[in-house]
Order: sequence, then structure tokens, then C-alpha cells
Amino acid sequence: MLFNIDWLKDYVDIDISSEELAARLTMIGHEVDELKHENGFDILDIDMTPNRGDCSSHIGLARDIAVMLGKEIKIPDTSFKEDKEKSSDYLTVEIDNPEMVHRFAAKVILDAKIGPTPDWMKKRLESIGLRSVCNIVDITNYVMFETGQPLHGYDLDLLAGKKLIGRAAKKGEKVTTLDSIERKLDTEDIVIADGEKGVGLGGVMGGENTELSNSTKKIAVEGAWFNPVNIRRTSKKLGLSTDASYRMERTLDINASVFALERCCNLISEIAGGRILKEMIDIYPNKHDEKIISFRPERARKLIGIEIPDEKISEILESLGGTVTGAGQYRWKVQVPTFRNDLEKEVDLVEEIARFYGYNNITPALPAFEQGAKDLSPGRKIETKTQDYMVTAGLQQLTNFSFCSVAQNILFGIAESESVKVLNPIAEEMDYLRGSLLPSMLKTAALNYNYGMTDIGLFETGVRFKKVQGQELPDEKMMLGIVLSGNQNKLHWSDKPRKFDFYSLSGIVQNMPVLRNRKDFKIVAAQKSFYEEGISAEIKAGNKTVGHLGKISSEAASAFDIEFPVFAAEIELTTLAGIGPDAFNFQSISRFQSVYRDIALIMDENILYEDLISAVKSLNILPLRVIKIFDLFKGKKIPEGKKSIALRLEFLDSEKNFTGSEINELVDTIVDKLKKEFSVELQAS
Amino acid sequence: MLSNLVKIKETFEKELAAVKDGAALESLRIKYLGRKSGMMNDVMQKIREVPPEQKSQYGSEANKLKGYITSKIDEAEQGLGGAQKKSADFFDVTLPGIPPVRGGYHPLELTRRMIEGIFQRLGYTIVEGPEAETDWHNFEALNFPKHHPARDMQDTFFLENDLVLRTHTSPVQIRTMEKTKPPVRIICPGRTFRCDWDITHTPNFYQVEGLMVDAGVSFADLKGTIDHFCRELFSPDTVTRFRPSYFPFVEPGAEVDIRCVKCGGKGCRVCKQTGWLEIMGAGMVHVNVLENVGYDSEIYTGFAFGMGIDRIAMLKFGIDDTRLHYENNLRYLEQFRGVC
Ligand SMILES: [Zn+2]
Repeated sequence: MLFNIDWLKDYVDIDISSEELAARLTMIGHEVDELKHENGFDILDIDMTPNRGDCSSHIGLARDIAVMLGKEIKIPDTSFKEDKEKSSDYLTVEIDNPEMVHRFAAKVILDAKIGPTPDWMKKRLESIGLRSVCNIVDITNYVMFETGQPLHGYDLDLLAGKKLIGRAAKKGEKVTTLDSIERKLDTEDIVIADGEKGVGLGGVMGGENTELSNSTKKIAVEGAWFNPVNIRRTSKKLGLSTDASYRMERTLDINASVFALERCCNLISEIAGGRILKEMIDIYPNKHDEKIISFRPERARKLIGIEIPDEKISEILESLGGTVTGAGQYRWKVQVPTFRNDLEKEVDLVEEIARFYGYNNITPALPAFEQGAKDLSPGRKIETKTQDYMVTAGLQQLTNFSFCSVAQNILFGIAESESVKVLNPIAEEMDYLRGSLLPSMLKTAALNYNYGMTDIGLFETGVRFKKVQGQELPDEKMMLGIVLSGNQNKLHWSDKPRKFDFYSLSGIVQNMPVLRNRKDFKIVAAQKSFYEEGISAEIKAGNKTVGHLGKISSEAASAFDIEFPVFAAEIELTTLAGIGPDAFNFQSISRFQSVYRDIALIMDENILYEDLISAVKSLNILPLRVIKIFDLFKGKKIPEGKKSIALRLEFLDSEKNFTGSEINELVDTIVDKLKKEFSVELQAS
Repeated sequence: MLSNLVKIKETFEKELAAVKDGAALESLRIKYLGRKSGMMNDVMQKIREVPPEQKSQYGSEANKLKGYITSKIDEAEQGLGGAQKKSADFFDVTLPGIPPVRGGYHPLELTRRMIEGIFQRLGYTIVEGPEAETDWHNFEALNFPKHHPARDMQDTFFLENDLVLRTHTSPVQIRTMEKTKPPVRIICPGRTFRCDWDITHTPNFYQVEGLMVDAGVSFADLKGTIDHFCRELFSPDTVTRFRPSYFPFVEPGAEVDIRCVKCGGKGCRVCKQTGWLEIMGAGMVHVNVLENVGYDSEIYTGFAFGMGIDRIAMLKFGIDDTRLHYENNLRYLEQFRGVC
């Protein structure tokens, strides 16, 4: 909001430089975004907080400046010569809905000369961004920026029945506003009407049908207090925010309308002449009570944490326009001026004291804290542990937006009925909340690939949303997403690159700290629509499915313009945090020597490795410490439909070293078991 | 038996020194490490003859020797300083080493952890809450009445059924106070949403909200806490400035600036020539908020503060465009791998 410092000086004696004024205003809560020097004026651009509607005028801001500088406020001249005739002889004002219209005042001016605006006023208006229209309109605008009270002038001869009525709009009623747009209204909007029709959108914009023109002979000027809730609703609904609605929404001084009309008449008689008819038409059915706040200076001292004497407190309150009674007692009564609608409670006064005492004069005190650092929540703990592991595993963390398109959700198995819709999306394809992290991660993969960064090892932890029937909030789960493509290791002179594949992905998943020690953790073949046929699996913890992994199908990939192989996984961290880890127990270690034996077996190619290992484990051979595949091949000397698997067996006993024949016996037992179960053949070495 | 191992070692060293070419090295390997007739195989078999009390020591010495021989032969094969290495061979120590496989954290995660760490050490508990919120938790309970212009301060994303995407993590305050009695000391980090997208705004971003409620907490306590935080996060000589401001859920309300980290207060592009950088909003928890969650505001007072993690990250790392955080260009993200 713009303020002209010259203009402010009409109401308060500012004896500091504009630069200092700007700096000090910032420090009492009127943040100056910019101090501009334009056309001989110093202009303040202030970021006005929404609670200070009273400061959206030059007099309003001048009041705070006066308190800050310890000066008196100078109220402008509101005198004028009154005509013998009465305003009420020419105009009737009525309030039809006192809930919406608390006060409605008006004046009638005859034979004023509508014409150009004097230079001084034009320049001031232009300096704060207003274009000059004609003297009468400019004067009403000038008074609004001076006092904060919006005023509106009508051509009285165009008012049917010589009436102004403040009332609720009728359902479907139409009013064409000054910007020539027809507005369709409902019963929550406030209309100013004459005897027949709507002539303005109360508190927002005047109507076109009664606009002032060069031929206007009789002027009716009106100032009112409208219910801010209605004004805001209308302004939001119509997308129409005006200087008037801005001020009305922020709650006006109930007494400002009469004062502003008097000031307006003063300026009209000075600038446009004419006859100002006597008496104020002032309909005020909904009287506002005087506001008296019960206040304890001790409470102020405690809450702010300062030692400030009663006298100083009362001085600040009085300089703000308050009237203090009961000074010297524990509890005071403070009557606050009507222009400070924001002051309602004791704490509001405490803030004023802190504000003018100066926040920077408050001595900081670090409170005593509980000993010891606090642990993370289970959810955040599993999230950070997983991130740490993923970084160690060589992956880069991403942070994508929570938004996606419904098509992307559907592609990844989240039905439209489960998808959470954003009613006012910021962009196309961002009109839903993501039900999976994978679409946005694949977009990221594509972006980097197109920049030539083709080795992609990415992870993200973030929330996915799903609509659940009968639940107030959508279901939110913290997910881990992994996307892999290209080379796993960086190009190096001594090494060959290794491509990411399904097994680099499953290896990362299997070794996740939250999974690797779970006895019930398994990867099982399961086809997902977005993974390539056969290269698709689910991650199980017991009978719970906690995630999936696989190779992104070419169909799904093409949705992101991806034509390179991509492997992906998504895991529900929230679910894993919920079931918690298996208890970890240390096992004593043997002091003897490990003995290794390698065996190569030929078998049908569709025998699952996991079944093979389970069969060996079912033998319960205690000294068999580790059994691990170290080679796998097909073709060459291996018959069609068969594969060769080489296993390394590590034997270790906690009591002794083994003899060769002992080991041979154990190996034979294992091979026999596999022969029996899977008809494997031992391959000659 | 052990002395036998020593002898084998001495012989091996002599023979290795005499090796001139690959063929000789290979036959040396077979002699010592051959699977069937290798000398070390023999040594391992002999363990049966060792008296029980020496078995363990013999086993470990034999293993050590086998490892030694294997590595010496491998070394010789690579010609890297082994017996085969001729003094004329050139060895380039400046070739790039093999980087261990290691990924990286997102700069927002790094920043979030720094902030969490400081408050954890001050005894604050980290609390989280839902990202899709009710109007009550995001606005009403925080003293944003339905038709109040204060709601314009935050461009809100709306969902069906009167829900919103939380515009700040302050609703976590409400959720925590609704189920906890004072004293409360929490910080609430998390993702927040506003309908805004330019060089300094993204439609979602991260915030940390802090809350302390106890008997007799004052604005001076707030100042002390924030001063401490800023000095830990930025540097011990960080200067803060508190200015009055307005957030509906605090009163007195404040905005906190730090002296510009770039120019030290002289004025520069980062601080728009003011010498100050705005870093958070703060204030005393509004009595209406305390009453909304059923706290006795006569006994309990508290302070709250909130800052954008994205903004702090920009200041800490000198980033000039906040949209970079969400573009996820690896050229950007990989720069932060050296940050600790
Ligand atoms: Zn600077």
C-alpha cells in the first residue's frame, strides 16, 4: 500500500528523514517494502498486515507515526458553509437489513461544478497510483485515502423515488457496476437500491445507472458501515477486489462515515462550489458499544518479560487514543477508540505496549530446557534410517511435488475413485495428489536422461495420498521410491561399468536395514500392470504386502517419453514402521576355521533359487553357515531347458575344525536332498 | 609343526624373488596354491596331526600364510610393487582413485536435519501430522476466522469435503495440544502447500514450526531461543532483529530477521540492500488458540515460531532460485554430496 510522506505531514509533524521514517515504521510493524522518490514526492510502499485496516489511510498511519514520534495528530478541517435547505428534503435513506448495514449516512449537494481536479490533489492521487476522473469522484477518492472511509456519489436525479436503501440483494438480482459488467447477486450480497432498482454493490463498487456525469446537477454522497463478512464474501465470489472492499473487509471505524462525509463536503465547497445542504442524514440502527478492555499491567510485564513501570504503560495506551481508568490498581479499564477495531482483548493491548516499547529493547532469555536430546518419532526414524542407507547404497535423494494427473495415478494402479482431487490446481497434470511416488520420479529420470545424465540411481521418501470411504482425511503413507537406470558404477579407468538391472534393485531392497533382519521378509513373483511381464514382484513382510519392484513396462515408460530400461520399487515405510523390526540378537562367533566347498548343479531352469535354498535349510545342518550362489549359466554344455547353478558352501563349527571326510559327508547329504527334491545333477568340475 | 610354516614362507619368498615372467609366476601359484597338490593344501590337511592344544594356533597361522602367499602372487601379477616390479616401471599416483559408491542427500533434507538437530538438543520433540488437513486444524483453531482477510495471507489449495492442503505445519501444534497437557516443547517439520509458483515460491515447500507452552513463558524466552537457534545454524556472531508483525495465531506477533549472511549488513542483492534477511515468523501463542485446545491461558503461556526450510537452505547454500529444489536436476543435487 502506497503512502505519500508529504500528505502524511498534513496530519503529523514528521521531523525525521524519509529514510529514517521508513526504517522506524518497519520496526513498529509497518514493513516498508520500498521508499520511492517520484515526481518530487517520497512514497512509502508498506506491506500492510490484514489486522490493521485502520492504517489503510493517511490519517490512520499518521496516528501510529504520531505515537512513535511522540507528536500530536492534526485532524483536517471539516467545516463548510451549510445551505438553508436540508439534505432530507431531497433524499430519503433507509436500512432494510441492519445486520448487513449497521450505519448509513448521506449528504446532498446542489449545483456543484463538475470539472477538472486541482493540481495539488491530482498529483497526490497520482503519486499513490490513482487516475484522476473528475473533481467530485476525485474528492471522494481523496477522502477515502485520507480517512479510510469509502464514499460514493450518485446523480440524485437518476435515483427513482429519491431514495437510497441499504438491503440484501434478491436472489438472482442483477446490478451493472461502474466497470460495465453485469453482476448476478444472491441474498448474501449487499445492494444499495433506489425506489426501483439496484444502484450499487454496497461496499464494493457503485452502479453504472446512477453514475455522476458532466450534466449532473444534484449529487448525493453516501458513506456506510457494511458487515465485513458480507463484503468479503461478495468480493471473493465475484473476484472483484476494490479499494473500497479492501477497507470494508478490514472493518471500518463505525464513526468514520459521518466524519468522512463532512470532510468531503469541506473539499467540495472549496473545490467545486455549490450548495451543501444542511444536516447529516445518518441512519444508525445497529449501535456499536463502546469498547472497554479489562487490563492488568502485571500480565503485560510477565508476558513480554520486561520491567516497565505502570506510568509508561498508561502513557503508551493514552497516546494510542485509549482512556485508562483505575491506574494504580491491579486491574485497569481501558476504553479504546472506535478506529482501533483490532483491539479486543487484554493481549491486544499487551502487543501495543511491546510494539512501542520496542521488540529490540526486550532482553533475550533462554528458558531452562529438559536435559537430553529427544528421539525421533518411529515414522521419521525409519524415514531417516532408510535415507541414510539409500545414500550409502549410492542413490541420490529427490524431492518431487505432491501433485500428479489422474492418468498417472491410474497408470500406477490407483483408481480415479481412490485419487484425491485438488479443486484449484496450479497447473495442468497437477490436479491430483500423487498416489504413488513413481510417476514423478520417472519424470525426473526422463529429465536427467534428456540432459545426458544417463546413469540414474534415485530415491525419494514422501507421502502418497489415497481416498478412503468413511474417513475424514485421505490415507497418507510415507513411501520409499527407487528408480534405477544406466550404469551402477561411475566410469573409471581401472574398471568396467556394470548396468543396473533387476538384481541391483532387489539387492538394494533385500539389504535395507528395516527388511534384512526380518524373518518373514520375502520377494515373491507377482505381476503388476506397470511392470514388464515376469520382471515384477511384491515385497512381503509375513502376509502383508509392503511394496513392489520390477522393470517398468515399455507402455508405462512411454507415458514419460522413456525409451531406456528403468527398474523401480516402491515400499510403504509407514507400514514397516507400524509392524516394527524383528528383535536383534547377537550370536556368539566361532574361533575355528571356515571350510568352503563349491558344487555345481544342473537342473530345470524354472526351479526357483529360493526353493533350492529352503530345501537345503530344511536339512538343518548346523555347521552350514552360509550357502550362496556364485555362478549361473545356461546354453553351451548345458542341455536345453536346463541351467547350471554353482553354490558355495561355508562350513563352520563352534567346537572344532572339520576333517575332509566330515565335510564330504555333509556335502553329500545336501546334494542328495536336492537330487531327490529337484532332480538336480551334480556337474563334474 | 609351526616351524614348518616359517620354512615354507622363507622358501616362497626366495622363489618369488626369482620369478621373471608370467609362466614362472603361474607355476609358482600352482606349486603353493594348487587345489589338489598345492603346498598350502597339504599344510591344511596336516592340521589333523597337530596336537589338540595347538590346533587353533596352527590353523590361524596356516591361514595367515595362505593369505600372504595369495596376495604376494596377485601383487606380482599386477606388477604393482611386487617382486616382478622393475625399478624402471612408471607408477602414476595421480590417476583418479576408484570412488566408493555413495549417493547424496537432497539439500532440503540436509537443512531439515540441521534444524531438527538443534532443537532436539534443546529438548524439543519432533512431531509430524497429516498434509491434507481439516479447515479447523489449518485455520479455525489457529484463530483464522472463516471470513477474515487473514486467510488471504496464504494461497490455499482446496480439496473435496472442506479439506485443504495444509498451508503451514502449525496444525500439528493444534493436534499435539489437543491430546497433550502442558508443558509442550515440539517442533513440527514437514511439507506444506501454497498456490504460488515463481523464483521464490513453489506449490509445495517445507516448514518447521516450533512450539513451547509452559507456565510463565515470555516473549523474552522466545527471543533467547531464536537467538540461540540462529547462532547455531548460521554462525556464533549472527545478529537477529525482531519486528512486530501479524499472524492470527500469535500475539504479540513478530517477524525475525538476521543480519545479511552475504554482505554482513552493508546491503547487497540478496538482502535487497536492507542488510537484513527475513527468516521466520514468531510470537506468543494467541490466547484464543490456547483456549481452542482447552489450555488455561491464565496459567499457561507459550511461544511459537515457523520458518521455511527451503528459504533457510537458500541462505545457507547461496541458492538463488527455489524452484531448483523440485526440478531434481542431478547436476544440481550432486553438488551437495560434500556437505556435512
Ligand atoms: Zn546483504
